[in-house]
Amino acid sequence: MSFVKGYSQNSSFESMHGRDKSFKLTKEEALKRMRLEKPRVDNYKSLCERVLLGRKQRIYNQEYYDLVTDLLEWNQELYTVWNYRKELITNFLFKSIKEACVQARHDILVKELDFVLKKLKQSPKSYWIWNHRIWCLKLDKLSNWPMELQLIETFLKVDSRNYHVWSYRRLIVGFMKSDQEFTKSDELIDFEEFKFTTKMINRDISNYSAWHNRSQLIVKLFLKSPGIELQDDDKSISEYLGVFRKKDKIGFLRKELNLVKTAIYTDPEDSSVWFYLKWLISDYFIKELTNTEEVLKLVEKLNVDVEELNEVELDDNGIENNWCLITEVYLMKRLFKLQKNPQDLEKFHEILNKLMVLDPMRIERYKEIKLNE
Amino acid sequence: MSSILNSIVNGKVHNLGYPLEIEEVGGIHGSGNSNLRQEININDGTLQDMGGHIGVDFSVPVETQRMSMTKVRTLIGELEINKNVTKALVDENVNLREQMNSQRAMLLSLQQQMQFMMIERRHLFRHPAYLVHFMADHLKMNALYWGLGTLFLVNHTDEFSRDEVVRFVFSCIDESNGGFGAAPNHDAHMLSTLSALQVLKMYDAVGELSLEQRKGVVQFVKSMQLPDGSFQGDQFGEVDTRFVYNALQCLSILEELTPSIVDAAVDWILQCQNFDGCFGMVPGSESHAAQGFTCLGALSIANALDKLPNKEILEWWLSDRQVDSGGLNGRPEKLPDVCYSWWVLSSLAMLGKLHYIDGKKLQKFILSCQDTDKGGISDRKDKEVDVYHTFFGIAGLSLLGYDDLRKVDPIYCLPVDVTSTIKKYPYSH
Repeated sequence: MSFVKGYSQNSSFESMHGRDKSFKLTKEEALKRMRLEKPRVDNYKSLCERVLLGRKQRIYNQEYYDLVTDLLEWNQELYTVWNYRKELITNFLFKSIKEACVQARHDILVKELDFVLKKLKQSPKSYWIWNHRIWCLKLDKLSNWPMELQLIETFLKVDSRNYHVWSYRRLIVGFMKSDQEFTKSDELIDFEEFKFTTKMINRDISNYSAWHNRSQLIVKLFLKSPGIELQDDDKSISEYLGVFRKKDKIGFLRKELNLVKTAIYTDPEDSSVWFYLKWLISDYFIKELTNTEEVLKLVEKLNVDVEELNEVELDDNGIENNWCLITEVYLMKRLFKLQKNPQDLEKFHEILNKLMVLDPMRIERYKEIKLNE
Repeated sequence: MSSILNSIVNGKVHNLGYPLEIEEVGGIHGSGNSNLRQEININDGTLQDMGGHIGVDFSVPVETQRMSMTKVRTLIGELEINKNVTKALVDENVNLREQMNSQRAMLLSLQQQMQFMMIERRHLFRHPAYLVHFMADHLKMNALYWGLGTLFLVNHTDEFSRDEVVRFVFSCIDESNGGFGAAPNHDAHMLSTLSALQVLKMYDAVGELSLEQRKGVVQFVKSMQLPDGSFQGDQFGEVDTRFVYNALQCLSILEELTPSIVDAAVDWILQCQNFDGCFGMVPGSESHAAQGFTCLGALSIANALDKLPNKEILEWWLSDRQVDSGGLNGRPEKLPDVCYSWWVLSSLAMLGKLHYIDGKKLQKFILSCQDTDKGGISDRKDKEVDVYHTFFGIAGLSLLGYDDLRKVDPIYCLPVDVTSTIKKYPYSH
């Protein structure tokens, strides 16, 4: 648990969110606080002034490198000081070693990454700190990508939706792909990332960030998937591999809709899966499928599943589930496109009428939606 | 006289969410020019007005204080009359009752907003007192925009001396590259450069940039564009749809957009759209309502909204951001937050779908996040207020057509009478 120790969910900009109200100090208390803080204020101000002056005068030496470290310990949001630090690394630390010595450079950057990690644990949502880490990795020819991925997993254990961490993960994946020394093929990396999203979703179906990433990877894997050299012991995973190889979208949908069904039954109120489901019945999957009968069967089966879930919800809660109804709206649109059945039109309006009552906040969008667009 | 300037230049822009509890700061950590005892006396003398709601700006001469108090009193008087008229009408016609009640609630709320603005005026440019206040420099230019933006939207454009504000903005120019930093001696960045130009635009002071300064800032912004059409925030390489928006708005304000810049930027933005219709930070990253705003804003400035495929899915995703409390969230399954009243609402407005959410419920949510005691708006009910959420709360209310607020432009996030003077792209020669 050493990682979690010292890990803060708040960071400077974030700390403007969700803070409890401050209480009012009396005049005496306020004056006392100011008196107590005065020495620290003076220290901070003079340190800040010194560092900014050093930056202006382009001073690059150990003394200023240490001052910058100190100042960032006070306040990690000073982007100008992070910039100065970058210049100190390239114009001072790198100058102290032989230009061509990759290992020596790596050692300097590894130390820097330790510093950055410490800061990140204090402020896991600070743009500037993540940037600094990325900047370091770009300079390091010996970057350790698997270690970065492990680090990301640890961050995601603490906050599985951290936007910065997911962005960072995609960036690392990009670095891995462009690294000539790294032996894995692009499509293999993508497939391993796909497996990772499966793991995250199985851990928590409400992880929209994971569903999102999955959507991105699926598109890539349908363009290019790992060849037969890759086998997986997990039966389900090797089935996914099979449909990607065959570019079999309908086969994929059959498999994926099972996963989605489990997810919507686990928590029918959770919107994450429903957005993902909407994508599964979008043009990306359906449009190019020529076997209309197969598609029709699939969509109708999905419709039955969603209707059933809605009935269960009605029995349990005495009210229909909005997400089931919204999904039925899309399904009717899709069915109507496939077979132009006037019954679907009727059903479409029937569901919309229900939604206008159950979801009055969004009544206007239900009035405007057309079956035939 | 110079204390406002001092408070801007030497002091920090306050109320970035820091404790608001102290009054007697000026004499302690101010620039050594104020007289603590006298200020406390002024405070005691006028604080009774409005049941203690209205505070006093130590940095403004007493006479000015009195004048603005009189102004407020007159306005409040008018509101009282309006309220009485409303009451009479309600009695006359029962059918009008509901409408009138909401009108009354609005008047009451406006009154609170005005009281708040008076308080805010004191706090926004207060002298720094505690350590946290000294540590907010990296957001100073943004805070200036949020604070002044709020004041402009509530029609209090003269709270600060225009010259002093403009001088402060100019003092943040980064001589090494021509952009604006967040504070004097801080590096230029796209975020602070846009805030600086927005502040200048509000004061109609863009023309006060010298030819050289103007060339410098244009050059800075243009030099941040990368070969793929995206923009970085500064020379250290961070890329984000936010910076494309920053760049296009900066160049739009300066009327320096060109097809070669715009077309590449638009193509890149379109790559950031996701399976759910909304946009992320870079191609491949998760949809986020705030990134939705920056992308739709950039496309709107570029007059390229029609290049967006399948708008309906985006419009639905955005309207799904409204949760039962009436507030809006930024991503699925996240808590609502007042600032999304701006990011989501402005996005819907740009798409012409403001009516896709329940405006009345949202308005109620925003108003419920006011601190009726201190004034200001927080991210959620009963949390600490700050200038950021206050601004985006007020801007959201303005988009909702809230009475007596200036209309806000959903693309530029500036009052529409300010943006109406900006030449629209593509330029006709």
